Amino acid sequence: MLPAMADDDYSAQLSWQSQSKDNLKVLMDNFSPQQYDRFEAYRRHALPKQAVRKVIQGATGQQISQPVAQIVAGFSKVFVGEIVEKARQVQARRGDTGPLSPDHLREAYRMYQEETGRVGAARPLRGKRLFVR
Amino acid sequence: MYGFGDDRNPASDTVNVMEEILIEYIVDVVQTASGGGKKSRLSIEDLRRALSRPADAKKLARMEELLFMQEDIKRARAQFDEPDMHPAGSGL
Repeated sequence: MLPAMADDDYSAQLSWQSQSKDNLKVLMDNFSPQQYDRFEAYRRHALPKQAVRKVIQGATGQQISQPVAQIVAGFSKVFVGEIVEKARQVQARRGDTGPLSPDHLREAYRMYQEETGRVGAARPLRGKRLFVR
Repeated sequence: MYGFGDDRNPASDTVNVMEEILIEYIVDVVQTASGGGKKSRLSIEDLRRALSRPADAKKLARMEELLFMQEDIKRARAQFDEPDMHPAGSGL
């Protein structure tokens, strides 16, 4: 079970959410059809919760609750966005066009790790696969 | 990936690489969060700490937003389940 949220935090989030809604409406009112289509895709798709849960359980050896898996799936989706955006920058810098290539992604991920520092694993995880696809 | 800026039809090998990177990332984060040991159960607080660096601000904010939504649902349910809404013998 997740710990209960303090009332202060809850109402702070509530007012932030309502302000965000207004800002979002202005943004969406100004989308081109292509932008709207892409934004819809962004909103509609999430990482599959069960798959994320399996990955976490495999990595920690623990039973993971559904809410926690949902949280990890949520911010991991943001991570995907960060990599794709960076990959687009890599692509532009190289003067490439069209769909992103694996190399764009790998370069983006390399840059991401450099900029953020490794999440902090004490032992090297490189090349160590926990699952075989 | 299209939602985040890729082509309407991303290259399939690119998608595969994204999945590999993503899995590595999730493993990285949760292992860091649980402090490398299996003893203590992975908690939200552990994840908060793992996402506490400035570079992870967006991810942390998303986590708080999701926690809020889960809390929202919990509170709405608690209100619905109030005992005086279902008086004894009401047949509900």
